[in-house]
Amino acid sequence: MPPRMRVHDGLLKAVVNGSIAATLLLGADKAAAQLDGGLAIVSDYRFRGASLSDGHPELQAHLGYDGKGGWYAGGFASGVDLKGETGGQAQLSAYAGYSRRQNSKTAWEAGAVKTIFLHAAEYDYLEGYAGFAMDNAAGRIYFSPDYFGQRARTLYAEFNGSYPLRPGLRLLGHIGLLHAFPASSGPVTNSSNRTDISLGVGAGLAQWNIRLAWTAASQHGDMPAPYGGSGSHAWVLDVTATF
Amino acid sequence: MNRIPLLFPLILALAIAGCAIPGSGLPGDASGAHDAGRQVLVMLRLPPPHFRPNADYGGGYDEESSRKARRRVAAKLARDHGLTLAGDWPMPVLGLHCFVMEQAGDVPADRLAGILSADPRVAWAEPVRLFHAMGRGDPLYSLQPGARLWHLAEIHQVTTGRNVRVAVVDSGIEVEHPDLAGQIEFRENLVDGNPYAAETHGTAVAGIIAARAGNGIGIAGIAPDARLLAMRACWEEPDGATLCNSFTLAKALHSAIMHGAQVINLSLSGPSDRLLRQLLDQALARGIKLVGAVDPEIGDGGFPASHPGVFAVVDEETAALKVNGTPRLVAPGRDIPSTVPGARWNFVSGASFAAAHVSGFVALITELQPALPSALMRKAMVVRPAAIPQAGVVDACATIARLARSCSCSCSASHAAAYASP
Repeated sequence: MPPRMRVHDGLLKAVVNGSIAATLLLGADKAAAQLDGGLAIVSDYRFRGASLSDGHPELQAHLGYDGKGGWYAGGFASGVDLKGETGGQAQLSAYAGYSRRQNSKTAWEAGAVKTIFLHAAEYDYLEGYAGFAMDNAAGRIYFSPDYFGQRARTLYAEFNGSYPLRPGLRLLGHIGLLHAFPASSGPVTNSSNRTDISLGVGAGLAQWNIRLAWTAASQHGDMPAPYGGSGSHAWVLDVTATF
Repeated sequence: MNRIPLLFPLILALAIAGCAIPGSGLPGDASGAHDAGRQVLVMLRLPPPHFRPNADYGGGYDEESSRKARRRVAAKLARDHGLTLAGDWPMPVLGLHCFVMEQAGDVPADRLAGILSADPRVAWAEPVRLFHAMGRGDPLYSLQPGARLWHLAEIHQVTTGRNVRVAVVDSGIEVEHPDLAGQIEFRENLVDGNPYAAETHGTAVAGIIAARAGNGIGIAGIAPDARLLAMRACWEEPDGATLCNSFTLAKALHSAIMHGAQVINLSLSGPSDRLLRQLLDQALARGIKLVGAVDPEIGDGGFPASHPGVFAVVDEETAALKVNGTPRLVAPGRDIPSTVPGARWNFVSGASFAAAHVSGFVALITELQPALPSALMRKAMVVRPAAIPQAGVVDACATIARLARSCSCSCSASHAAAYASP
């Protein structure tokens, strides 16, 4: 791995560690801290338009923590089925960041997320992000110095929107663009792009959140990720019990 | 292939479940019709929206899991103070999540709110306050319509309020009324434990603002092509009074903001309230025009009409009363024919219906100049001298003629001035 990437990686690790530490410190103010979570089953674990479960259902869990001053942290776990790998696999992600309201309409945030894969450690990677959120829209840009451990730097830009159809029912939309910079070694020797979109509806019923979405992706060039194998588009059903 | 390693999700799930409160859904009736004196509104901080690895497509604030997290905090808070939870409503516009808590005892609500405000888990708290619609107790008269004095037919050649969203924060509007059918883009019931119903006050206000024009029946609204957002925050009592409380009104205001209202009609009055003041300020900051009915029984005209930036409206009769406060607009409000439940029409009177006229009028202006700030819109309105110095009689036709420039209205000041004296 080129030394330059080690620098990026070290910087992002420092951000993650620092954010988690800051969050835990601020969490000393337990009075205002908020802890939430959920357990979900998805018909297909689609990440940025690509299946990480080879088109099969997976269980997922999430735990989130919000401190008083805008610091937040959390963890996410999911079963995965990375193509060509063997053994029971799971993805574990830890994230931390800071968000702040600019005004009543807009908030901005920055943070980092570290993802590891059990029994497929070669795909571990770190990603930093910054973005904004409004009433019914959010956008973020992510940077990874070593996307899915494939020795390639990537930028991913996404825009998410929702529209309330009636109380408890929303129209959901997402578009994202992943750009991989060329690297002297690894699978990406030329610039490549991947676009993904998703359209669907989401409903809240008591403690259940149900989301049905059609997702699709198109790719130009080689991608530094264990993508593919389950088609470029799919309907995905996500049922989450929140706690 | 060995797959679905359940261990880790299950470990996390167990950890989460250990924190969960069984049956964390909130019980009860938070309408507050009879419990306002025993209820307080407790504000918890609502964290800004942020990244979640499992919520790529939401983009909104309504994530149920984080809502439940605050419910757990609120439930613990309520237990600690010997209270019960009666309702809640996230208000991202303010960065707050509002909870209704109720006491079994008789501690004064102001004192209870003070105790809760001192709790570090709480942003602030306040008593639930009662409001009433401004048509209450006014007799109905079978007299001629007043809207014609605004030269509506001529005005409608220039502007009809096309696609302007007007939120009616009131009692239930009869959605199926033949003069309102198709005019209501969205409706929401904000009164918990009290199902949506077609009620007189809200239906009459809605008809004045946006009843269908040219359909061969009934009346024509001031802005017949406006789109109504029916926000039911008030309810009818058996004695005919129409009541609301600060919680239902806050929910309605927040929902109106989130649904893109351009005008919000508030034909109601009550005591000044911190939560409502903050929501009104956020609405004004977003360019939403607010119209409130002046309460002649309250010295400053009542709240929200007395709030800075709100178009405070009186009818011709009320205009004669000497009340202090901000300048107010005089509009037709006596003997106004309008829609009422049961697919009927009747005559109504009161400041509520004068406010409805101005809401329709503001929708007409908004179609012509959508980005006109509230203060400049007020300056652009042509008003004639009224019975008291602080009031001005709205001259709708002259205002539209001025703003449209190309208008061929043959407005006469004398028509509008006819409203000047009771």
